[in-house]
Amino acid sequence: MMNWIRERRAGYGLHAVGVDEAPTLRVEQVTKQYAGHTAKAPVQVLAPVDLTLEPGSFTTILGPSGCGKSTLLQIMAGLVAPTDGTISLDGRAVQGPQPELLYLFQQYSLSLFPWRTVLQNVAFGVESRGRRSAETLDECRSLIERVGLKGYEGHYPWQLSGGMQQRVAIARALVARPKILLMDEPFSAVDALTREELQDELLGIWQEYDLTIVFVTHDFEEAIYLSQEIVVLKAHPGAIVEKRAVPIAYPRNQLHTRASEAYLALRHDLHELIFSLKKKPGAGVPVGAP
Amino acid sequence: MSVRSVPRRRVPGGFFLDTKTSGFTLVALLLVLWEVSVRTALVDSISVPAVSTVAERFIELLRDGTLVDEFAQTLRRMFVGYLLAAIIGIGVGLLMGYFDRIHNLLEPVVELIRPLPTPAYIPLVILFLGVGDSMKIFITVIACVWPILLNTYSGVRNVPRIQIDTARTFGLGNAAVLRKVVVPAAAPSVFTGLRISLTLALILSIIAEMVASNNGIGYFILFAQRSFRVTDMYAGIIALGIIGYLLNLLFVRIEGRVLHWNAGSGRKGA
Ligand SMILES: Nc1ncnc2c1ncn2[C@@H]1O[C@H](COP(=O)(O)OP(=O)(O)O)[C@@H](O)[C@H]1O
Ligand SMILES: [Mg+2]
Repeated sequence: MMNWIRERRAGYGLHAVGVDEAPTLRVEQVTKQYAGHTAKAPVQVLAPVDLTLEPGSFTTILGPSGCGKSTLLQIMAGLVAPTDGTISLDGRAVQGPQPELLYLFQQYSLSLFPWRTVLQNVAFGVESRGRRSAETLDECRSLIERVGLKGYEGHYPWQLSGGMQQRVAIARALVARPKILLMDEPFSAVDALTREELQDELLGIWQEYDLTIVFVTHDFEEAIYLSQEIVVLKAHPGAIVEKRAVPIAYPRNQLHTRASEAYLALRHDLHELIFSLKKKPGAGVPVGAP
Repeated sequence: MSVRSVPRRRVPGGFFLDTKTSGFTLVALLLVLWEVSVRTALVDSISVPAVSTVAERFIELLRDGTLVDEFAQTLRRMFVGYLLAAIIGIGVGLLMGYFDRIHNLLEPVVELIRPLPTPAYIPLVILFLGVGDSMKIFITVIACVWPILLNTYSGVRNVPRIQIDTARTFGLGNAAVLRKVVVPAAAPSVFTGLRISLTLALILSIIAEMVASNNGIGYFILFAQRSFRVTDMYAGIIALGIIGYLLNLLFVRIEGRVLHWNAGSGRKGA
């Protein structure tokens, strides 16, 4: 259990925290193989992937379940080592978790610490950077308010709904002042209404904090609504099949945006693309499986 | 706060059966049965004195300080042993759970020593440490260390990977992950071990005193029986039962304090 922690830590802290502009995150020729079950050949989860995330961009990675989205995001986050290829920030190759980057787990409710209250969970984001004080606690409180959880500071995670737990996870991430947020299907487990609310709040936060966001989803409507660019992944092995810019201006609106020409046209295209991928031999991964 | 998933079936008897009233009544009934069977000479009153006789003697022994003195000896040794076992068990358990290399190094030794029933060591330990306090403390430590160590170990192993990875994505190093995530996450399991060992500590302290001692409640009970003070023996046994009950009560209180977050999270008894 120890070695991977040490390994991942190697690059941490070498870079000054608090650079104003987000660094450019570049994924170059990244592949991932997992040892197969039994004695079979290793499983290729990711074919070489290349991706550039410009400062302040909102990019969505779209693909069916099991195509390697989480793996790719965790490689970017420095939590999983790639089999090959490099991750770089402003041209500097990095290994392990970086202070500019924060990964939000798909299983957000498991990522909250059950022995900590909402306030204490959020404070984890500053403690870890060694700057917990009365001042930072105020910062935590105002972020809790920012994500709409005022009055819940003393609650434990299990006393909150899924959507509220996700808000705690977001507040905890923001208080650590990352430049790049890697979000793994953050809203797939909440009800439709809460999801729309959270989507709009996220867009607000994205602009307010000047973040680069990489957002993973298997829901192409969510991808169109949120992002500037959509990267479509196929499965077996995971590989980028298409990159599409979203020609819709911000601020977006749940009713108007979703009824606009551009939205509907893109929705049509992506729908066709994804279903054609499903039919291709070798791409027979169940879509929508949890 | 605690919601039963399956409602208790309502039976006729209402309040009486739905609360602990029934349980306490049963205890009272058994005591009355004891008293009556002795008085009616249903059982031999030499080996079984009446409850009232035992209770009288119990109060006498409490008043003249005999019980207090004997328990002071027993509990002092017991707590020293228990505390040492807790420090060693939690420390080694954490290290074995967290560091694969330490696990590989120590696991075979643990698995070899652990299955031996602790009382089997007593003659050996007497050989090295004599019959004094250190022997009894040592025996208590040996017995208590395993449940604490193994529960701590499995607690650490079962810390959700996501919690550790979350800490890592926030940039925490080894020591900080251990302190801020692994220790609190494993705490419920550690407490399970501590609770098992608390019972063991009392048992082993008594056994050690019965084997070789000139004080302590174990010695008192055995010596009373050998010198035909049967009523004293019963009073000692009952006092021991009460102390055991109180110790457990105290433990549950402390556990509830420390793990208050655990009460409603559905992880009880992890
Ligand atoms: N630690 C692992 N060991 C072996 N196979 C894995 C591991 N993690 C993921 N995989 C496999 O990699 C593939 C991609 O998984 P994942 O990245 O979680 O996909 P997604 O997030 O798109 O649903 C899946 O087939 C999964 O079974
Ligand atoms: Mg996933």
